[in-house]
Amino acid sequence: MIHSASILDIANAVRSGTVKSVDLTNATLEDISARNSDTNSFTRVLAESAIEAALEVDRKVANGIDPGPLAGVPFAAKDLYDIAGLPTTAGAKMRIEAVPAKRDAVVVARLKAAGGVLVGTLNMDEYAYGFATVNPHFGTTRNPHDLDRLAGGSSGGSAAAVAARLVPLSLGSDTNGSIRVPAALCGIWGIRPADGAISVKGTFPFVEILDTVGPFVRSAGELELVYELLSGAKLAMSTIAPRIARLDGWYARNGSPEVLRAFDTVMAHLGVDNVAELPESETARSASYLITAAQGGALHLDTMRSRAMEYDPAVRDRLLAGAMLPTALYLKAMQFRSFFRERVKTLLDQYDILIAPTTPVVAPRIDQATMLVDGIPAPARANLGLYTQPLSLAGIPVASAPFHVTSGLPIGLQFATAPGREAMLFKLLRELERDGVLRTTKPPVQ
Amino acid sequence: MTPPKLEDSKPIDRYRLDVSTLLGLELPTECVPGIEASAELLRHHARKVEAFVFALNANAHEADET
Repeated sequence: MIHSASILDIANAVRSGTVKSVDLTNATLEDISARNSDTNSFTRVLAESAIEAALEVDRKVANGIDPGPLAGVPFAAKDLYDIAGLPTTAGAKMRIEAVPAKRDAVVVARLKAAGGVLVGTLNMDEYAYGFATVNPHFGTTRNPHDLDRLAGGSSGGSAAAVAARLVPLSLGSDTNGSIRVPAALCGIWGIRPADGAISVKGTFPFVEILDTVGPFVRSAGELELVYELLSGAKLAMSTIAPRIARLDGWYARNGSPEVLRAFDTVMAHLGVDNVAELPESETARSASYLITAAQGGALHLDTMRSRAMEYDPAVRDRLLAGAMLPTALYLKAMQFRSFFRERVKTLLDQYDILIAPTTPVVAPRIDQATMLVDGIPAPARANLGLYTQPLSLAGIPVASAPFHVTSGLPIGLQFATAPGREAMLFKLLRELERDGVLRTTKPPVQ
Repeated sequence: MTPPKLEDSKPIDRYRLDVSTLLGLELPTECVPGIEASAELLRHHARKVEAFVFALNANAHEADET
């Protein structure tokens, strides 16, 4: 059951008393113990507290109390979520002995209140600054579809754990694409919510104005269910036919043939020939780079003054370069951000849903240094965010959904909408999943 | 008017000075090339943003005058 059951199946089985939460939790913990070394998804397994939580769920069922819509569902969280009693490492060795968190992050508390059982914390790039989950302290997270390839980042542990079927649900964070990129490379579902739609309280910050948090799951229905639980919003049933367009220009450049074929297949299935241009997406990506480096650098400056040599060297380089960025450049990037957000808003007055690839390529090999960008070799890891970074700047909800591949590595597509139209987005995703166009595929590693 | 240009390159020694001033400590020499590479990437992105914002502001200014 733990490898194939959906969140709904598990919750129904536990709520009805057919399955004991404690049995399911024990099986999950044993499975993690046996298989985590394949992908290196987990950084800490919280066996004791998970068993306690599962027993509490079983007590409620025995006493006729509904434990909630996630009754007994095992979940895990990226290592930047506060968990009461534990240090929040944010993937940094220097934080392994940090002062333990006093309380759970808001969304961790929400999942627990819904009956979810937290079983562990998940690997990430140090301080969420990366698209690879290559962490010098906690190791590299490998892609369950091919262990020689990257899982993506920075929420790579969160994506790999769900794709490898170690847990059916995990939490990640997305500043420049850190949910969407690993969701795409691992062939599962994830969503970056609209700015402010889901509370980031109790998570280790990176870039205050770009940070969001969200879930990873294995189906469209689960994505909607968990989104509602995390946001606290009950989405109304959408009955309006969405106006859909494919994003062209920047989002059609640099894509590999297999990614562009998948994109075309989805658009053909929808019968959509609307093509939308989102001008200045390339500049939007550049602005995201500058804002990220400047805010990240400022956040870490005091710590770098005393502990610079304890950072992941690659992260330290980026943070130091960002800390030295002239203020005028940061302010110009912020001025561009205001301009770009208005342009996106105008486009979303015309269309309800915009579709684009999530990453330009399938998961790169771990040892792959470069990929071609505009015909020129460029760092592979940094360019995984080519299509996600501009949309981050817009502050709109964007889901990454897995194209149904019958062979080869996973491919993800972004579905973006305006804040407040999430119900329409989820309805379209469910329909495309029902039609077999979008679907999670089982990895060979199980 | 032509957009202002950022420096195309910055000597490594200058970065060592900047880091030293900013952090109040000297980093080992082997750290400098990595910082320089990251700074070069930021300069690449800064050039794009600078050029666009310059044009944006110039257009807004011209619109104000007409």
